Amino acid sequence: MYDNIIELKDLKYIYEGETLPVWEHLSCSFLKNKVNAVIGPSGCGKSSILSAINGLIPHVMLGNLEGQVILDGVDVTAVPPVVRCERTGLVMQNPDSQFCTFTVEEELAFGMENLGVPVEEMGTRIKEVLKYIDMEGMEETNLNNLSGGQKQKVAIASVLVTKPEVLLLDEPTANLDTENRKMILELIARLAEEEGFTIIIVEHNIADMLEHVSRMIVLDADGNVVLEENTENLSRDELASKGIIAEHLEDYMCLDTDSKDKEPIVELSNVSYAYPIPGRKRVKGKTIINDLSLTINRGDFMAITGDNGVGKTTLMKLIFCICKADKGQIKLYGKDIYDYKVQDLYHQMGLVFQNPENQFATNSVYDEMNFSFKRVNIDEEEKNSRIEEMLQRFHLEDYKERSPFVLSQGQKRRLSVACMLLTQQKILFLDEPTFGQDYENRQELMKDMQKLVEDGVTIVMITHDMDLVKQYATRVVRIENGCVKEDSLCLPT
Amino acid sequence: MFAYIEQDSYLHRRNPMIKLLVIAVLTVVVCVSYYPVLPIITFLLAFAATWLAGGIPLDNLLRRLLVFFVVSFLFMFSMLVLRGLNEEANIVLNMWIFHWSEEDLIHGISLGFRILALVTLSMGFVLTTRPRDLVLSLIQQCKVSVVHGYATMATYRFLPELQDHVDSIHLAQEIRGIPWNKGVVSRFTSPFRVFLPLVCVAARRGERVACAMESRGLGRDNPRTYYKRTVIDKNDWVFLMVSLGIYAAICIVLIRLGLFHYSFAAIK
Repeated sequence: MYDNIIELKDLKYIYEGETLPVWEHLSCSFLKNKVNAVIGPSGCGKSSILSAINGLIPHVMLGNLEGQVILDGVDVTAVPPVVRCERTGLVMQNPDSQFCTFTVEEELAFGMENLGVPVEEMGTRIKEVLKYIDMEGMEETNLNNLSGGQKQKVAIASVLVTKPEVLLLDEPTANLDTENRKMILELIARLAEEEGFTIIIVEHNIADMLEHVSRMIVLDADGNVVLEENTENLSRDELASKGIIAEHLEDYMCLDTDSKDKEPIVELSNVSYAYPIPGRKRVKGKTIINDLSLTINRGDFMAITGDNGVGKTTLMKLIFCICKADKGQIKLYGKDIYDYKVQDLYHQMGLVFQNPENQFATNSVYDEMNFSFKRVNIDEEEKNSRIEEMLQRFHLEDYKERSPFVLSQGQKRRLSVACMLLTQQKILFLDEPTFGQDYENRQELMKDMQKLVEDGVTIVMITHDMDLVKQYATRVVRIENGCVKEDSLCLPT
Repeated sequence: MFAYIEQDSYLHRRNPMIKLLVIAVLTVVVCVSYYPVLPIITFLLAFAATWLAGGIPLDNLLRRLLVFFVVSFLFMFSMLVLRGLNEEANIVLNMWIFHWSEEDLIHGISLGFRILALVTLSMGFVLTTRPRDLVLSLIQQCKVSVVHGYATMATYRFLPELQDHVDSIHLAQEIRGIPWNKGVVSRFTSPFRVFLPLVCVAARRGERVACAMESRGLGRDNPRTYYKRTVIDKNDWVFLMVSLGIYAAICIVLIRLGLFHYSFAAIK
């Protein structure tokens, strides 16, 4: 028989300015000293559950909350997060949003200072926690110089040092590559097994740590609890058959590239590039792209992969004439890209950025789409018909009067893609399209991309999300040290 | 450009509030001086102090100040061009259609070097002051509230990222076929197009950091402890007295030599 540490009783919450509740009559409980997983589709209110437990809802994220949050038998609904943080610690999806200071040591000390922990004890706790997360001796390291995985470790450690009973983790591996994801999941498993923390984790796919999860709470799209069960009563096959967990995807099957029958669209021949040293425009630094040759063919759904800093984004900048190659040639439809007018070049190719908000310039979805026609000479009727078609295709018909900045993450991403396709570009480049997106949104976006490929659009995406590559890409190009290390056709699973 | 450089030096070890006090006094004195000698001396002193006492490599410091050298020169140049067109008495220099009086030359050169002196002082402060120490000093010595102090720190943390955001917005919009700063209309509308996404990014960031800070107990009622403290020690007082003493001595010498004036009336 297990003890419950947290109980949510008949919760209903409406965000300020909204009319529909995130959830209504939400009741569930979480096991003490165990790992509890909250699963559900995008927008069902998983992260809001963590905010309600932590007290950010309704004390910081204002709105109307009904019902009770019970912590160890005591109703803490009226207790603000600055008091609840003694017993609960929240780790956000993106560690950069959570950091308040500059160095590892400062970040770890911040929470303890607020709680009034004696100075001598702080030093001991910092040393202990850094040893625990394998980052000994990195006290003085600037947070900006850490890898994505290390940043997430520090974010978790900054909560651990305050010794809360309950650790709330909001998709802690969402923006991490495979290796860093594995590292963080291992840390979470250790925290549960060795230290006995109560962990409540919101994660899109808990297949990798299912053996450590003791209770699973599954929500439907409307925020209703459809399953609340201890995992000892559930088999892995049963969970997989219900679609609650996704099993590991097999590695993609690599075949030799044979592009004889394909029509080349973009051709890069022996391209090299080095960025100028800051402040000295004419002096070049380290070579980023090194004698790279690559052909993108019509109909490719290509994934460009590789570790951070190998030159993936620089490659895109070269193709879009944002940087000029030091050596080699880049051709589009057989013509040197430098012979195109920039405007004509951008009518042939679209680029969707990591952060879709950066490319929005107006305050309504419709205006935003119309903005793409600013430099295009076509009649109003044609413009409207293309906009309506895109709104429909990307499921944005109901939001055309809304500001692009208040759409959900998935909708923003779809709008940014739609804007890029309005002037009928036949090649679409996507830079880390899944960054900041949850599982549902990623899948939806990729299915849209698949449909575009079927309609004759060539897709090239830069990504480190290997699950996505295995599922959707038809060609994988791996970049290493600025040149193509592997170029394989693959059969999506 | 304005980013703290981590190292150990005499200026790095000084209390931020003492450094700010010195800069504030020097700024006021330089601003009321309308003769170019004091701004030139202040610039040279600030430069030498940042280089030698701050341990900032000469080439690094020159690179950071390059843009301000250009700005100051442009100010001086445009001021001299405009003033040279006026017909005034006491002309001391003639060149083509330009005629300058002594007052014109003094005014132009003073303005340029005043800008350089103030920028170099600020640069010296930023390059040698750890942001955490500045915030701690504001909280512990100036009694600023902890919440406001850490909000300042969060803003400071976001500032270097601001230029990256502007660059990505610019790039993203250019790829949508909206040329950047090309044409008269675009030059006026470009900043507005950046403003909207930039404000959204900043507001969202601010909201998340506020949530993170509250969820980690910032602003609790209990007494707060500090892992690191900033203090004003004997060396800081010595630095303050010596800096202001030297500067006062320079001013006295300049006054004696007739090279320090508060107004143009005094020059005449």
